[in-house]
Amino acid sequence: MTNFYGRIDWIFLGLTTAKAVFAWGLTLGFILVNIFLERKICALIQDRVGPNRANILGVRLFGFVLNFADAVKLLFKEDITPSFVNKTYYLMAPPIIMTIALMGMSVVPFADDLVVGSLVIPMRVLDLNVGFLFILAITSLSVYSLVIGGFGSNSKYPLFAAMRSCAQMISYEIVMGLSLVGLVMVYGAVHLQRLVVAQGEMLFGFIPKWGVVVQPLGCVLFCIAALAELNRTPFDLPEGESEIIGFHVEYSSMKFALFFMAEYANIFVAAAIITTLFFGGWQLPWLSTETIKSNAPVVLRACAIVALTAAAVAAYLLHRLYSKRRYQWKDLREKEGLVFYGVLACVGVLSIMAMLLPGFTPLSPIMASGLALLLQAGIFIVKSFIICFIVVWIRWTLPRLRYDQLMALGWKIMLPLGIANIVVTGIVVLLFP
Amino acid sequence: MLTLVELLNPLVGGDVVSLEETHGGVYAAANPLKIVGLLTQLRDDARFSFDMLVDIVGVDASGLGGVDRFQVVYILASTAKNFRLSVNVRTSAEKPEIPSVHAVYAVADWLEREVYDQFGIVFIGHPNLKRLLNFKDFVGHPLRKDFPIDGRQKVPESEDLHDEMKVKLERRGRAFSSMRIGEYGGEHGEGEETGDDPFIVNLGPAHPIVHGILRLLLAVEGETIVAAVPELGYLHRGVEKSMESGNYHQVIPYTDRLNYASPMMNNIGYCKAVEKMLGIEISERDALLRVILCELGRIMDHLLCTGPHLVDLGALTPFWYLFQVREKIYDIMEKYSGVRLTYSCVRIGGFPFPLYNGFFDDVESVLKDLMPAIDDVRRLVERNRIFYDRCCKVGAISSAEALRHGFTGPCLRATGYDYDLRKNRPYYSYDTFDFSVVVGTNGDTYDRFFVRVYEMIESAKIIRQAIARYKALSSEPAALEAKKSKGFKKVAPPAGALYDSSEVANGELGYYIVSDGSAKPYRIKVRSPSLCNYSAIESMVEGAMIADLVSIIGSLNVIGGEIDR
Amino acid sequence: MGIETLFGKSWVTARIDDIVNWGRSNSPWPYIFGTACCAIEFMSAASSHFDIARFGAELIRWSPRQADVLIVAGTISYKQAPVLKRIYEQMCEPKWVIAVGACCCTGGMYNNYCTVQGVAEIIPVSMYVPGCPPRAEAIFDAIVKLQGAIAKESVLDRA
Repeated sequence: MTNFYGRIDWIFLGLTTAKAVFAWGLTLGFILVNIFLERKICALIQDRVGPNRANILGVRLFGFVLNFADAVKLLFKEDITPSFVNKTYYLMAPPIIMTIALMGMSVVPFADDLVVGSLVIPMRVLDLNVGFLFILAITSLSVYSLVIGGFGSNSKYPLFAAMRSCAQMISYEIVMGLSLVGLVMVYGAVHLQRLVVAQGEMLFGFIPKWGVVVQPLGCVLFCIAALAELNRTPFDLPEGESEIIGFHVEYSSMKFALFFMAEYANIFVAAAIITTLFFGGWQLPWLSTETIKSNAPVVLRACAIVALTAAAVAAYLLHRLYSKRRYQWKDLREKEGLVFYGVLACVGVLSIMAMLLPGFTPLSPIMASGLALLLQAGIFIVKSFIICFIVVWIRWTLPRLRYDQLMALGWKIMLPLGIANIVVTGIVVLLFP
Repeated sequence: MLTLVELLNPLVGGDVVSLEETHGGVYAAANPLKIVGLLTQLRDDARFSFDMLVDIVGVDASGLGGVDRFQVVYILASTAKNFRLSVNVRTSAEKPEIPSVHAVYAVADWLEREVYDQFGIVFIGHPNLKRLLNFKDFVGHPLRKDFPIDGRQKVPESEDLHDEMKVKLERRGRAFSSMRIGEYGGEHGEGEETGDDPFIVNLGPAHPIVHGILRLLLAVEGETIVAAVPELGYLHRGVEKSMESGNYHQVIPYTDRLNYASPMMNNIGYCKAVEKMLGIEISERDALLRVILCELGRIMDHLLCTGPHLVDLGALTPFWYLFQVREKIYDIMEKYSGVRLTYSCVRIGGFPFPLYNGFFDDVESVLKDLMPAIDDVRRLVERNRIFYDRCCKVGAISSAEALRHGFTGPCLRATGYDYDLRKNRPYYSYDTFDFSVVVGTNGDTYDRFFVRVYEMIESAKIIRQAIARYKALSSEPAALEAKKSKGFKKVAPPAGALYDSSEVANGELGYYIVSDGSAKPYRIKVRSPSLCNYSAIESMVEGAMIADLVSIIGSLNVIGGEIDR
Repeated sequence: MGIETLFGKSWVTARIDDIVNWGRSNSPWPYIFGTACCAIEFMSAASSHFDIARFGAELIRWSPRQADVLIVAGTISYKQAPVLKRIYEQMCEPKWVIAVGACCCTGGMYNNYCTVQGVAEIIPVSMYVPGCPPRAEAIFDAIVKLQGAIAKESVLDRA
């Protein structure tokens, strides 16, 4: 962070801090979203309602407020360290996995480089030219957390979980790495920003050259391996709830909360990585950054119209929901609708202002860049959200694999497929440069 | 075709002391010292082929007369020839010893342990004569007539079962070393050098798979189970002792709570047994209604087995779909009897309440909702590769081994053996209904699961036929046969003993009732299908992985109320 | 003694109490110690017809260290009693116990040599739910009343 003259580059420091706050804040915020998604999707799939009682002054946000109740409760729970555990390992394990989730998020680009005058600001916390190799390396460290936590608990069930998770995660890291080799061959880059930019090109003129289009097998292999790395069903053996309860049996209160939150943070990080590598990252299909910046007024108006329509539809649906209710609570929950309508009204007003703005003042380049930035960050978040949704959906659909079947799947089926993918991709790349 | 009495007559005077036929059953008294030879002969002789030991009942006959105090009754079944025989032996109070028959029938291992536990009869030659239901250091034998019903004894701590495990491992050529927490690494000092001894893990009663009531001490190597020591009795509620303290009507609520997944079947089985003892024939309409309730109970029980089995495997969603149907059956039974779960909805001789208007419409709507729920679950699970891998060839057991362990019900039929009491020993005109008996092939978890699923569909068929017949008999609501006289009649069966059984969801539920002529039952023994199904757990689980153990226990449908009574 | 007791009995502590009790009452993670018929009724309570998840009690934790409410459902025999006590002792404060069913309240219809006549002989009970078995709504009633009881607690109580 010192420039050539040995002075601290405050601008660089400030910008990196801002980006870190955004990226890590997004990850931590998505923990809440993922927990909410899990509960609500679980409830909808299972034909029931899900949490709908926890409220702050009557506002329930369809059960989102429950996350805050969980957090408060876990914060104030008694923190027990059993006497028989190995204290160093026991206490070391939870922070490791949370740190790794955040570090993995550091290299993911959430928008195109911002050009402010002569300054080019990369929209990722760390600008590393090893790209996803860094991510692979960092996620392989998360094994340590489970193994150290399980082994350090000095108890038989967590030991089982530690053994299982060690074998599982190491096997599927290999598959993860192999499935990405094809991507490198096609795009010729390991740097994540260059990968995303390369996905903006067109195939046959109209299909965006996303990773899932040019490397479908690689995408499938990577997604399955990522599920295994996340310890999500069908690969949730280490926390096989009904068999060995999990590696976090001896953990309580905030240490358990760290494990719990790290799982959901990891889901978001994995979704972000999958988006970046295979689904175009922050790319809007058919709209490059230059297009947006040069047509800023049109884009702004289009966004405003979309926002206004969405607000109107949301208001209509809420109205139907509240008018269908047959009973009366006679408490603050009745006023919940007002809060929602208020928020939607603000959104509406802002959209109208945005629609009228180009008519009053021309948009400066900085504002155009800002608009592009917001759009791209927004689309990145939406794509990641969709993948989080799919991950949660899969959990409630499939049963759990047995240990030896899981290893057989990883080594006997996915590994050969990964190698075959590399060979086929190599041939295709050579024949059709 | 010779009858059983004619076939057994030649044996009288030798191993068999006397023979009599009452209540439609054959009862033989035998010499206790010759019991092993007799049972072996009865099992192996092709004329008899008594391939299943249904139950071993202990009776403290001090109030019944006779020289020797204790009586042990072996109830045998020939599934091929459809014979039933009760062989009873007597042994004295001073030296209550009988040779063990565990070598003849494998299920006798646990059944004899229970008789030892409750009566103190020693079975000579038993490999592990330890208490089954009460805790290890319990003083006294509860079902003896001189043991007070509230002779409570507190248990300071659970047994660690290491002695049994040591014996088992030695038999398999392995050494036993128990590791306590902290002994391997960590701050508690040096660990023992255990080399390659198996790892001892306790799958205790408070574990999601075992539903809070079973305990297994496992010796594992990696994830493969080398040996397993089961322990029962965590839900032992002294039902059989409590049943002796009231009259015959007051037994009905206790039967509800035996298999609490399908309580009406237990009620009906008991009332059927007492009616047989009294010589009462219930009306055809009451019999049809009992059939309807039994089949509804069967559907309820199978839903309760398949749902949690899938949850244990990790497929969390089907449980919710299946439970919706159970809730609808609960609603029907609540409208009929007033209770959601433990109904006591039958009485000896008939029913206490008339049917409500709309009962048949409600049942029809349940059956209509059943098929979509089953289809949803089948779509999620039947061709799912993961489910297939988790369940096929897991926990497979052959028919011969299953019969030796006294398996009945879906667990036996999944092995490919076609034995259903509704068709083989029909009651309430089950043989006149048009339904198939669902039979599997391999006896593995997959077959057990789908036998239950398809049996639900067959039960739906039976219910529809029964409803049609009921409506054809009369369009009025059921008359209260049992309430024609004011209040409950005094039920006092003639002195003697009777064993009667019915096909409940888990298999053969039997009641061995001993009466001394008074209004209070002298002894009631419940033949529990879950206990016999579970008795094979040690052999089924050996060599399997822990994940398979989950699958196996889930598919056996172990209901604690029945196992531990 | 946590930092929340820094202010002693004051307005700040009362507001902290409000927030903490709100959190604790809205997310009671249950440990279901289910043995017999009442456990089946609890399964009904968790099923979609009744849905215990509405109260935030969705995450049934199978490790006692992570659970808040010990729901004892079903008859407890003397053999099971040491197990129950051990589970209760492993739970972290704050913890509450709901005794579901007649067998847990007073021994139920099994007044004999092997049944504990009420779980209160072994562990302290916060809520008793009578019934044999109680309806699923009765279990919800217990949870709602438990939420009311939690609201009256203070962080100073357990200091």
